[in-house]
Parts: sequence; structure tokens; C-alpha cells
Amino acid sequence: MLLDKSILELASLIKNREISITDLVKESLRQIEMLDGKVNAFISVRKSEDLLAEALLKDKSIEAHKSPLYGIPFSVKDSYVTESMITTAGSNILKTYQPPYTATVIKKLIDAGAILLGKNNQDSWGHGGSNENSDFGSVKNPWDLERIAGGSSGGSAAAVSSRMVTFSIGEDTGGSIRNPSALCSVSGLKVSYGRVSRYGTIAYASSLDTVGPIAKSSEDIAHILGVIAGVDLKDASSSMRPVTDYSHSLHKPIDGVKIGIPKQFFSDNYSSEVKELVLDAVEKFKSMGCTTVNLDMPLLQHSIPIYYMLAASETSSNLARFDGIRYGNDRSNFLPESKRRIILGTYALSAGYADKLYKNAQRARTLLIESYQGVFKKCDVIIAPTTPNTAQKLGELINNPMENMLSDVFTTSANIVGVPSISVPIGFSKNELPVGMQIIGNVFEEADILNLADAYQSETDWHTKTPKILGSEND
Amino acid sequence: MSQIVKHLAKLAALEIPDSEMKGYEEQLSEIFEYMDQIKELDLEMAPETYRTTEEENVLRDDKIEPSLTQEQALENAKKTHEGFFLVPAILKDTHAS
Repeated sequence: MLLDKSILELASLIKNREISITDLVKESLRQIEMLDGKVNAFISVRKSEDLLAEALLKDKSIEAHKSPLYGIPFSVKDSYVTESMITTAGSNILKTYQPPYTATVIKKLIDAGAILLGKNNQDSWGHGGSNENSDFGSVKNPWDLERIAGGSSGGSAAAVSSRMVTFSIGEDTGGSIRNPSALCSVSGLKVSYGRVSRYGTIAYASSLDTVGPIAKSSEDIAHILGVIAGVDLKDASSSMRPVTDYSHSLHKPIDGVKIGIPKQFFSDNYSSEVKELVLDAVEKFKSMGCTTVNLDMPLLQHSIPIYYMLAASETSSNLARFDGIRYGNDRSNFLPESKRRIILGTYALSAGYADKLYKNAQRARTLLIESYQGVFKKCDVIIAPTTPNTAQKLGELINNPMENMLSDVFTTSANIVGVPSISVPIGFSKNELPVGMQIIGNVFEEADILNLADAYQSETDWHTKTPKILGSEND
Repeated sequence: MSQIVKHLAKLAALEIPDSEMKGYEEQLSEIFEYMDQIKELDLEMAPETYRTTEEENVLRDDKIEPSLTQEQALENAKKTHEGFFLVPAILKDTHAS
């Protein structure tokens, strides 16, 4: 199956004309046709005539193009605007919205020659960790269609997991790339805040939102990141730091790397099954020459209220623009989870409460940043589980707002502090559900965490496993 | 609690039907209580951090650059009038008889 191959493999096959870009796009369309009725990873898919015409055109000028992404099928979460293509952010508010411009991240990928297949399903506005909070139906986990795919970039992770596309661009504000990546057994990177332009992203929480890739491996992610990272004059929060050559930063030796293990993330409060798989992975790293450092980070226990105070406040402000006047439908179209978050944010910012709630969260943020900075003097990276549980059955989390919030416990602090974190598959639970772990690095050290993840993936094969719904397509 | 929720919903221009109000109150009660732990944290009166970017005051020259056309800016609006967005009236017409 072509879509089971890495970006480099595909680039080589295309260059040597062993396969055509048309072959690749045809397979992508076939996968979507066969599986998306069950998985519901896409809100919209481009017309096949247009896609095949594009592929044909690209097949004619292969020699002229250098990027390994040339001809590669990808998709994006529907929170990225695409000119003249409906963009919904997973909500009926924007059901008929056709943006007059395209997000920078998509422009960069298209300029590199990648082919956009469609827009992925998501929790509306990024509000969710299960992709059940969508006006376009829940995304089903390709590993068990009765379970959640995770969220809010559930559609993106499911599309890669079920081999509909080579990669997808998700969005991570509190774990929304890493969570579904873990639950769907794919790799997903949350970048340092500002590493990738947010121009054209429908904002959830502007001081926390990040744009990042979901793919089958850290190596693939490194290639994608090289294309999408970098300053953008249209995004004043984007970093001016030069872009590292991520793909050439892989395959560096990792012996001597110090891995921090925060005890707060390995307490008895959390599933022992998940914990054990993460500790197995740590042992793997030790066998490759890494050492471990025990960490005590008490503030981590409060990441969730800190995150929700900040995120809800910022979203209540960002979503004020959806008044149904300049674009979109009116505010009665917000789903209950989004209404809850807006109300929570309004509460946190309202007179009499703002100082003790919102501002306290910002003070806690300062302390959490200092805590991380202190930790990175003692170790090079931090390892943590990605989610406290494996994928729940559909209906469990969406009807339990508190439980839903608590699934973010391991991922939110990276957003609060602005550091990068990659989630990679590390195995399966007893009932054969995927488990992921995070490798969290210091700001702008994506190259280091990608290198470590790649080293892990060179010695293990969890990331190569595919869900049963792919059936006999695996040839 | 219901007064608080009604007040916040009004501030946020959200309508919560009476039939759903109880459900929202219960869920929000639980959430607000959980969030209140923020008030108890010993924050040593640390300064607030609003953003994690390194960049400050990123400005560009005050020169006209290509942007959306008026047509593009209006194309998704439900109601327009001679090149303007049409909005619901917010001021009462005091001269109406």
C-alpha cells in the first residue's frame, strides 16, 4: 500500500517514476471512499476531477521539483482557512463559510507541491478531547469504530491512521494534536509557540494555539516541519528564529541524553497500564544509552485549571467575532460544550473575578515557565504519557464535561509554557488499544525531540502497526 | 447560580433555553468549583505572563499593501447594503411617532 510508505520512500518512487503522483492520489481517494463512511475523518473532500487533474499536471513536471513533499497527499483540520473552499472549524456557525484567503501553513505546503485532499473533522473550535463535539458527527477511532479518535484534531489523526493521506496538519492548544495521535497510534508534534505561522488559523486561544503535523513517523514530521516552520509577517507572534534543518538533525547519537521523569505524571491516580508502557519506553531509551532524572514538579497538578482559565477566557474573547453579521450563522448554533467554555471564560474575565481567576492563572503560568526552565537545567527532555487512558467508548466523555477536561492532564502544561512536545506510539493496552508517550523539549528544540523520537522508532515498530479496518490493503 | 449563569450568558450574547438551564447550572457549578483551586494557589504574587513569544512590537511600515477587496470582505455576509455590512438596529429611533 503506497500510503503506508514514508515521505522519503514515496519521494524516491516518484522521482524514479516507479509510481506516478496520479497513482498516489487515486489510492488516497479510494481509501477515503472505502473507509470514511465509517471513520468520518473528513468534513469535505475536494472533487476527484480536480485532484486527478492536479496530479496529472504535477506528474508532468517532476524533474523541476526538489521538495520530498512534491505530489504527497495531505489534509488539514478544518480550522485552517482555504480560499473558496468551505471552512467550518467543525461548527454549523461556519457551515457555508468560504474564506477569501488561505492559511500560510497550507500555502507553504502547496508551494512545496503537496496535494490537499480535504478538510478534516474536529471538535468545534478546538473545544474537546474526543472529536464528539462536532456538528458533522463524531470521528470514529480506526482501531475500534465504537471508540473515540481523541481530539480536537481527531479527524486529522484518524485520516493518517487509516492511511487516507500521508500526513495532516492539526492544531494543538491543550493537547489537540498529541491526544488523538496517541489514541490513533500515529505521531503528532506540538511545536514551540510561534514556530509555525498561525495566519489563517481560526483561533481558539491565541496565546496557546500551535500549528503542527500528524504523520506516521518522526522522520516524516521532520520533513514537513522543515517546510512549514518559519517567521510569517502576517503573524506577529511567529518567531524570527531561523529554521533548523530538521530532517538533517535526525540520526544523531542519543547516548548521554538525560530524560526527566516528573513524579506527578506517574502517580497512582493514573492508569497503570499506560504508565507501564511509558516506563517500558524509558527502559528502551536507557538501553540506548540515555539516563533518567527524577523530577518533582508540584505545579503540574494544577495544569488543568490553569489551562482552562486561560483557554476559556481567550476563547470567549475570540469567539465574540462570530455574530452572524460579517460571516457565518448566528450564535444559537454554538454546541453546549462551546457555550460552557465561553461562559467559563466570561466568568473568569468578569469584574470581581478576573483578578482571582484569570490573572492568577497568568501568575501560575509564570511559575510553571520557571519550573520548566529549572527542570531543563537538570535534564534534556521530559517524558510523560500522552493521555491518562486509552480511547473511551463513544458517548462516555462528551456526556461528562469534567472527565473530558481531565484527559488533558499530561498535555496542557506544554502549551501554557510554549515548549514543543511530540507524541509517539509506544504499544497497545490489553484490549488492543493504542497508547502514546510524549517527549517534551525546551523551547525551539524540536530537532532534539524529533531525533529522540526517531531513535525510538528505529528500534521499535509500534508506529508501523495498522488498524484492522485496512484489511487486506496491506500489500 | 442561575442568576450568575443568566448574567454570564447575556454578557456572552448566548441564549440558553429555559429547558436546558438546569443542566448548564449543574455542569458549570461543578466546573467553577474545580476551577476555584486557582484562587488557592500560592503564587508568591509572581508577575503575569500573557504570552510566550520572544518577539515584541512587531510592526510594519505604514504603507498600503494588497489586502482584501471590498467585495471579498462582504462576500460571506448575509445582509449588505451598498457596500456596507447591514447590522441589526441597536439604537432606538427616538423620533419615531
